[in-house]
Amino acid sequence: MLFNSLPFLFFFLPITYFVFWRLRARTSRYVWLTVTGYAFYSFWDYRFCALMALSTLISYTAGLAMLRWPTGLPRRLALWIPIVLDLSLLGYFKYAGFTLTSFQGVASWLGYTVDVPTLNIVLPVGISFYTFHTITYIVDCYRGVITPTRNLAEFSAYVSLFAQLVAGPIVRFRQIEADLDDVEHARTRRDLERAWSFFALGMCKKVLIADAIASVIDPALANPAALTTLDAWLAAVGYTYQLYFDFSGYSDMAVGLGLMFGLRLPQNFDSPYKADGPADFWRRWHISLSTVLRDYLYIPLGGNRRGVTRTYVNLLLTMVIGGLWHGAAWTFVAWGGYHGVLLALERACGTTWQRVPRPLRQIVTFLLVVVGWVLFRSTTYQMAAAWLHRMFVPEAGGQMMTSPVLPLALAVAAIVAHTMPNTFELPHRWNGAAIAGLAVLFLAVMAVLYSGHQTPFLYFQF
Amino acid sequence: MRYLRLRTVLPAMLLATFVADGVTRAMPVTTWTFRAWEGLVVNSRPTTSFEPLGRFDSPVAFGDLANMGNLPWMRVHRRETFTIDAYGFRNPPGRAESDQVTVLLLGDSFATGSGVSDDLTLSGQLTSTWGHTTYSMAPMLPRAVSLAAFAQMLHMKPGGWVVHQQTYAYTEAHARLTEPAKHPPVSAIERVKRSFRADLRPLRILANQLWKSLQNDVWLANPFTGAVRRARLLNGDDMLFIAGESAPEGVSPDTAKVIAEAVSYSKGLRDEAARLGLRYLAVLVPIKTAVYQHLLAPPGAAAVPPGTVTETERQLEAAGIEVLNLFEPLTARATSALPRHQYVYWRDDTHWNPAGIATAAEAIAGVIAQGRPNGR
Repeated sequence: MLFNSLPFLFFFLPITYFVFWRLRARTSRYVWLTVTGYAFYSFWDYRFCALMALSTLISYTAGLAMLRWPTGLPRRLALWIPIVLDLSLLGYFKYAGFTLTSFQGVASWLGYTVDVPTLNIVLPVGISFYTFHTITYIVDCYRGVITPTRNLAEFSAYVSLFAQLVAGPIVRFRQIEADLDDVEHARTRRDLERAWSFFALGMCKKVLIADAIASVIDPALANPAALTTLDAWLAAVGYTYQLYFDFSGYSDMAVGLGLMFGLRLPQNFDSPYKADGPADFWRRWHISLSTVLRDYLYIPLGGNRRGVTRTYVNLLLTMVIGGLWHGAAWTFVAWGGYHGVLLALERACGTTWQRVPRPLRQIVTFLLVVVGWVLFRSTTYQMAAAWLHRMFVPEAGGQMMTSPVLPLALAVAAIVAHTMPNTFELPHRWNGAAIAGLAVLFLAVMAVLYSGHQTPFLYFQF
Repeated sequence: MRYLRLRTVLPAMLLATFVADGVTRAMPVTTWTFRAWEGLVVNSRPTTSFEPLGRFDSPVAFGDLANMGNLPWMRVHRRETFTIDAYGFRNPPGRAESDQVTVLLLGDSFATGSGVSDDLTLSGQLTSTWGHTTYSMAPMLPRAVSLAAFAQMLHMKPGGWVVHQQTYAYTEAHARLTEPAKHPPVSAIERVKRSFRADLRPLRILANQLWKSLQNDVWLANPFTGAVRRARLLNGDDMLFIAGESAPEGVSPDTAKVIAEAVSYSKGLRDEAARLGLRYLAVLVPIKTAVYQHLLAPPGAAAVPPGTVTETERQLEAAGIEVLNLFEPLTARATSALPRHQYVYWRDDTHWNPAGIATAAEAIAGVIAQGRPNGR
């Protein structure tokens, strides 16, 4: 069930909302959020509800253990055992098949023939996200950043909150703890205007911009080797905007849904295509992931405190793992490594890069990001190579994308992404004309939903 | 103005859409369709072809090929009234009880009169123009044993006819064991239930129509053009055909085998009709491609009957079944009408039009009058 689907809009959301606000006690609201979270997840695959429940129990128990043992070996075991278990589950479901086929590939390259079993492992939706939720909770408890909760219902509600369950943002417990603790005092009207504004804007970004771009470039990218140079660039730029509006649209909808229940989810995008350097880009793109990688991987590895070489290694390693988090494919690893190299290069350039005029830095950064998305979007190295070849080796022949939808959608996307305030910067206090305009756009969204021509959120596959 | 807030406007829009979704499900599906067929089939019953006592009436119905190919400029708008009786077949109310039926019509969508108004269908023209009161149970094909129930319902007397229109080879496997029964009109509640079972949402039909209007090769690519073939006639007009449809002169052994099964089915019907004192006439209607292939630009092609029609006729005659082959009459009329920009099949549809049906009715009436097919 997607946020932009009729069963969600007509049944799930109204029922969840009305029952939530009829319940008064804190625990009953926790239980309801947990129940609705599992119900939401079961629409994807009910079999994996048990997996999420197991992950929840493991982390909750780890927190209790840390309350019991404030120091010493038991506390360290309470940190590492659950993390190993959580990562093992993630590793099995997400990377087992990839590991085996990669091993087979390397062996073959070395001249050995190795037979590996074909594993038909179904990837549980959202496992990358809720695993990071639970791991950050365990580590924060260990570090003393937060006090572990004794309330299983509260913790379950946090892990299974439907708004952020399957595609983020990655919400740390400490970011939502205050709202959860105060959930019985949440007031209906306080954030409802803002909630619907976020939700509607997110829907419009996803359905009217991202999906419009996808409708033209997806068929063209079935064979990137056949594109003209112009169309190869249009497809790359198109995917750049498609991914941003798809994912940020989803994040906006998640924030809006959280606000409908008195929960303030963190910002996930801060106008990333206005960035003036790779580091700035990663302060603005998928903020919840990049900060998790920074706080739980880069800094523990030493960050930039262990010399220049080690800093570069840490950057590269963090970004490669970040790439791998997105999916079990070498193209994701390459994409992560590419951004690791960019970050290292920017650091190496020092103040030289900062002396470049900001508009030029923004343009260069944007173009570098576009090239990176080619790796991200490609399913194989061959596809990426063909696409990049078409982009950088001028070719006139080939199949043109002639639909006027693409330039129109790209123009709108560019204006919004590069010049306008992002959703978190808006005041969300709309006058009558703006509300009428949003209502018309929402009507267009409903028409698209009814026609069945929408695509799933891109980040669901991660 | 205090209610003009997103927190009231958007939920109100969702609620209004939800209500509209429910209300439109309760309405006849024919409200949303471009022609009768799709709207009246969805609420049929096991023993009926269409929704009992259903009705479609549109002054701007158009053809299936223009819809399949999403080619609005190829539409030939016409009035289509489509009336279903209480038994779920396309006949005027009361005909089944009239005690005047002399012809029971079987067949597919050609016999049904897809795209044609009630009085201009084959049964309508046989009745009104030629005086042979005809009851159509098309497009349902009955098992032979079911004929008796229909003959009894219609009080058909010995000497009546079972006229079986055939365009494609339908075998016993396509036939249904059925007895006619009267049904009440479909209630609104039943419509809503069926809409969920069939995943039929009128709002989705409307949304898809809007989406298709954008898929016009200007805004978005039209992915449907491959479904149809647009060809230029000798008079300069364009006509649509099903893409890939051909009318070769020969038949493969597999096709001959299927035809043999279809003829076996016809023989079963003929034998049962004979047992009931009725005569059986197989009427072969060629596909549109066969009738018009010699009239396509550039000139030069000859009007050759398709192998399937020739082989079917041969096998039916070998089985002792009376058969009327309409290839020559339809082709002749198509040729003579072309300079006047008149046709025997709709330009935007797979089916014949009232002129084509008139040709068929005249030929069938001739057989009935003379007692033998094709003047033989």
